[in-house]
Amino acid sequence: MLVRFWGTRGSLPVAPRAAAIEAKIAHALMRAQGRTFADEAEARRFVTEELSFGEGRTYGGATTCLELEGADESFFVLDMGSGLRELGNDAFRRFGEGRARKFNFFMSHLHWDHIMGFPFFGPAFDPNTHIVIHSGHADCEQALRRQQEEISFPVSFDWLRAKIEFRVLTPGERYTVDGVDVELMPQDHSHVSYAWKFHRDGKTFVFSTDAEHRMDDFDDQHAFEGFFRDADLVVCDTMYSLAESITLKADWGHSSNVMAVNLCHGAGARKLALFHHEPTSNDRDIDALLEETIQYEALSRKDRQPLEIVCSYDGLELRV
Amino acid sequence: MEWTAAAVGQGLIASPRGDIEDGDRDLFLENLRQGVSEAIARSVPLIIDLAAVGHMSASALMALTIARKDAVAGGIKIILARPGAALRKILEISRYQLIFDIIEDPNDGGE
Repeated sequence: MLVRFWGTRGSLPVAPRAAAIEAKIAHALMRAQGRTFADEAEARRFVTEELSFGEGRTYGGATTCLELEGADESFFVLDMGSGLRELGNDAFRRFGEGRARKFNFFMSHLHWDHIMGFPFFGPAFDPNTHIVIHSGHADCEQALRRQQEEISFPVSFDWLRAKIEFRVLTPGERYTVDGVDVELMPQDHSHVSYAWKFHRDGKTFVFSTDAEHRMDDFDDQHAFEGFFRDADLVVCDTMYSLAESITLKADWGHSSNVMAVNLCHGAGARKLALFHHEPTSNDRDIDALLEETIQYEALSRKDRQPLEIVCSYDGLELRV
Repeated sequence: MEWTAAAVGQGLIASPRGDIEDGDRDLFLENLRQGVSEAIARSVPLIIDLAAVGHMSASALMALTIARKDAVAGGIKIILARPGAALRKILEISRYQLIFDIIEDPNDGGE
C-alpha cells in the first residue's frame, strides 16, 4: 500500500504570506554563504540536502485529505478536507491513464475542515464517476448536503452528477472493500470521530486524527494500543503539546506528540506520522515538533522496538 | 519508585527516587496529593526534587498535572527542581515549563 498526503493541516487551511517566503529565501541565501551553483539541479540539492525541510520547503496548509493506493481498482480517500481539490484534479489525469472512476471515501468525522473539499472535488461532477462514502456517522449525508445549501455554497449537492452512495459502518466489525480489510473505532471528539484501520497483504495502516487521548483514561489507552497493535504506519493527531492538551486546550478534541508516541510504543507500531498540524504553526515550528518528537521517542523507548517518526506534509508519500 | 518528604525552610520538599513509569502512576499521584495537602496546610510551595528520577512516563506527567490542579485550588504552587538532562528534555518537549516552575536548587523554591 502507498499512503499519499494531500492535506495535513488541522482546523483551517493556511498559506504562507509574502513575508514568510521572503524570510525563507533570505535564510537560504545566508545559509548558502555566497556559494555558486552550476545549475538548478545543484541548487535543488543544496535545498534538499543541506536545509531542513521547513527551511527549504513547506509542510503545506491544506486540511485533512489522504489517499491510500492498493485497493483492487478504486481510489481510497480518507476525509474531504481542502486537500481533496488537488486529489480530484490529479484523479482526472489518472482517469486518462485508464484508472477506474470509482472512489471509496472513509470519513473520520464531519467537521468543516474535513468536508470542505468535497464541493471542489471535480470527479463529483462527472456522471461516469461512482463515489461510495463510508462513515461511522449516520448523518454524513446530511452534513455534506448542508454545506452545499445555497446559503453556504452556490452549487447544490443535487447538481453533482456522479453516482454517490452512503454506507454507515459499525465499529468492531471488519469489512472488506475492494480487497482491503477495513475497521473503524470511535474516538473522543466533538460529535465523535473515527479512527480507521486498513489491512492488506500483511501490512496495516491506521489513520487516527481528531482524537483526544486523556492521560488518566487507561481504558482509552488500552483500546487504542489494541487498535494500533503492530501497525506498520500510524497517522496520529499531534496538534498540541502535552501541556496544552491537558490544560488550556483540554476538551478541544485533539492530542499531542507525547501521547502519540506513548500509544504507538504501547502498540508496538513501527512508524508514526505526525499529523493535523496546528494552523498557527509555521514551518520552523513543525521542524521543531519533528525533532523533539524524535528525541522524546528515544528518551522513552527503553526496551521497546524503535518507532520511526516522520512528519506529514502536503505531498508526502509513504510506502506501507 | 520511592518517596520521601521533609519540610525545609519555607517549603515542603518531596524527593521521589527511581524511574516513574505507568505502573507507578497511582502511587506517585497518591504521594503528590498528600504532599499538596500538607503544603496547603502550611501555606508553602510543594517542591518536587527530581534529581534522583531518571525517567517519567506520560502517566507520571499526568499525575503531576492532576496534583497541580489541587495545588492551584489550594492556593499553592508545585515547583519542579533539579531534573536531570533527559528528564528536563521530556519536560520541555511536553512544554511543562509553561505550567510549572522548574528550578535548579530546591532550597530556592520557598523564596
